[in-house]
Amino acid sequence: MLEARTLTKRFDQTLALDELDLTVEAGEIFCLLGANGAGKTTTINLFLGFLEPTAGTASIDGLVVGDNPLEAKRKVAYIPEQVNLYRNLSGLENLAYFTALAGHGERSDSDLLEVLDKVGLDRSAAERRVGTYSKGMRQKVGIAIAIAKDAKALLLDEPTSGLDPKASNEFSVLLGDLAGRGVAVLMATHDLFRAKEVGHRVGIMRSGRLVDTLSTDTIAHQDLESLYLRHMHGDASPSSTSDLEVAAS
Amino acid sequence: MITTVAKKELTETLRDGRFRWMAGVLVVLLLAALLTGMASVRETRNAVAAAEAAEGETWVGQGERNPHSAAHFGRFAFKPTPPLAYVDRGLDPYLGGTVWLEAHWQNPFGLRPAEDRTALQRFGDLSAGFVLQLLIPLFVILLAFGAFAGERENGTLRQLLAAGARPSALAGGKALGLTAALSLVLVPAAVCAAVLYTVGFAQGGGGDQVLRGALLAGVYLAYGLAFLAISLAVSAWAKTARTAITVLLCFWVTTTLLVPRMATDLAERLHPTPTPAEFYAGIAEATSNGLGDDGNSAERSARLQQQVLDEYGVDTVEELPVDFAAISLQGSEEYSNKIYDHFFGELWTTYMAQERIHRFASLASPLLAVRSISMDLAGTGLEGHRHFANAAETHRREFVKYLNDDMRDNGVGQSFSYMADREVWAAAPPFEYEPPGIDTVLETGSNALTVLILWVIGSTLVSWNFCRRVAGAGVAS
Ligand SMILES: Nc1ncnc2c1ncn2[C@@H]1O[C@H](COP(=O)(O)OP(=O)(O)O)[C@@H](O)[C@H]1O
Ligand SMILES: [Mg+2]
Repeated sequence: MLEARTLTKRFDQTLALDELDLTVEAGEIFCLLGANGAGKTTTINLFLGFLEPTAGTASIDGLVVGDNPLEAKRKVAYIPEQVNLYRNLSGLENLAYFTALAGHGERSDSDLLEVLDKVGLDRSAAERRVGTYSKGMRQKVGIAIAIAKDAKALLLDEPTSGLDPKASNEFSVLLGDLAGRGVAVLMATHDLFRAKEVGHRVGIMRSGRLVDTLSTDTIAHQDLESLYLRHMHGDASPSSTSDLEVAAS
Repeated sequence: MITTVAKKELTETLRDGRFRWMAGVLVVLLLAALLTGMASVRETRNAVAAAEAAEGETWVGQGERNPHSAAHFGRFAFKPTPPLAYVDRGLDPYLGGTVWLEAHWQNPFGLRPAEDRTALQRFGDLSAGFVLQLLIPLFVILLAFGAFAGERENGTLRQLLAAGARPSALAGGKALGLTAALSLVLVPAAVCAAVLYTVGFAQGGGGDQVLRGALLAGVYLAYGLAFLAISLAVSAWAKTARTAITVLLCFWVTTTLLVPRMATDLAERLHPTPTPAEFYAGIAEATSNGLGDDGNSAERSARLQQQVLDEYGVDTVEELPVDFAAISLQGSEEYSNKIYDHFFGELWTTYMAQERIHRFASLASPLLAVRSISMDLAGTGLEGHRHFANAAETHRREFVKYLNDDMRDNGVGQSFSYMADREVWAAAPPFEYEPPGIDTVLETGSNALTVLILWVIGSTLVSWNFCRRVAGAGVAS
């Protein structure tokens, strides 16, 4: 569903992304784990067509982003660290607007209220102006947008940083539901715990390169942590699945 | 998609307390300006009507008098105040609306150079025209500066584009929504203006006033739209709302305050208006010494006498069948007319040269173009004034000639002791003035109109270009 092929991005001196190869299948949650500056946001910007790749391609559901920027974007939903909404509009109005602009026509209010209810925003919350929302509520509107526009893929950039644990958990549950319905999820995070909790697979990024990819159901939390730290200090070689099994045992 | 964006833009604007506050102030200012404009037009009209009636009485009832002394007694001509002056008083307050018509002298009114000095550089009276010309752009700027820059700054633009919104639809929708918001202020104001008009000028509206009013509204709308397009362009270009508002306010100050001021100064420097002293000294000098090699007044007088004697085939003035004093008066009248035509013609040439500089400057300031079209449509502009001044002067010449001819034909042998009476006064040609029609106005205003249209087209193209590219660099980080 989401596919990067030798995707490369260079800013003047910085090689922000170095020949990334990555596939996220429908129904899969893939977490990009890495420290600040690893190249996570750059990856997402390339998928959104906000940046032109220096080399390689990013494609969504078979559409190369650079060739079909609008159609490609209409298949994804994007949730940044801060879901930015119009403060003077209600949650419902924001949702209606973003859905309509995604090329899905105007959806009925009752449909949209149902979607908001599904992500945990009841009617009274939905009709309040967003200026009064907590960060957690705004992130939920972000998920609602993804549901309402029937996105095939979800791109998340540190969506839970700054959320309290309860809100963060609720958010993870919603993500799981979306994946359960066949949405491909690519989530950038530096939160190792969250990545292990939510993701099916975790890719460790360092200096623009995907240095390791692990399956979360085959690795214990402590092992992931130590592996991650070793990668961060540059003294680990990429692990194979068998390495993981060794580490896990 | 465009209507969705427009609707959202309008909803958001209407919910913004700052918008409601600004719109309220603008509407109140406009209404106040219209009401005071209305009151002042009616006051002027009433005063003129009263003065006209009294003046007619006084003229006809002046009793027995020598026609030439009646010509010195003189009459007044009044410039009718057009109803749309309540929207734009234009140059009327500076140029004045009455002129005293008497023998020998083309009296100053509008053409008094001293007053005309300020006439072309008017600022600051609270007329609806002033409010519209200065404050509409400011209002539009405050309405639109954040359209893109604000959304870029708070991240919603990035999110919109990530959702797959087309930049062109965003631009179109924003323009439409903001135009609607602007209309919410201007349409009620225009309706109030129309109601005031109907109530206030039930009689004497004049045939093409409705068309003029509609055109006036169109001109101000186009003006607002030009500023809207520019504001959107800057907003699409600027990284932050603060940058956008700073750039736009500089633009506003430049185009509505600095450029008009500089144009006036430049026009005055390149084509100086003579001071009244210089101007009338020139006329006095030409009157005694003659224009070119026409000779001094004694020589001209001798030449005229010889010409008349030849014409009647007689040797002396006493043998003439007509009154020579009257002929001589008319002769000097006609010579002074020639001098006036020369000097006022030069003065108008100067004004027109100054006007041209304003027209050029209007390429840098739409306000200059709109100001001129607005006055012309209201009937209070320079061209309208010139039209009236010419009509009044033509009438003065006819009127004085009528009196001189009466003395020439009926005062034989009596000259200045000949007395005419009421019948002669009553039969004097009346001053009937018809202001220029809309077609004339559009013709003389075509340059300014063209400049305004260029502004609208140019700003739209520029705006389109910037808004189209809004998906570019600024949103990636
Ligand atoms: N617009 C940009 N211009 C120049 N360098 C950039 C830009 N965006 C990101 N970078 C650089 O690219 C690298 C990767 O950044 P980023 O993808 O934002 O990392 P992450 O999201 O993992 O923290 C960093 O070194 C960053 O400084
Ligand atoms: Mg980042």
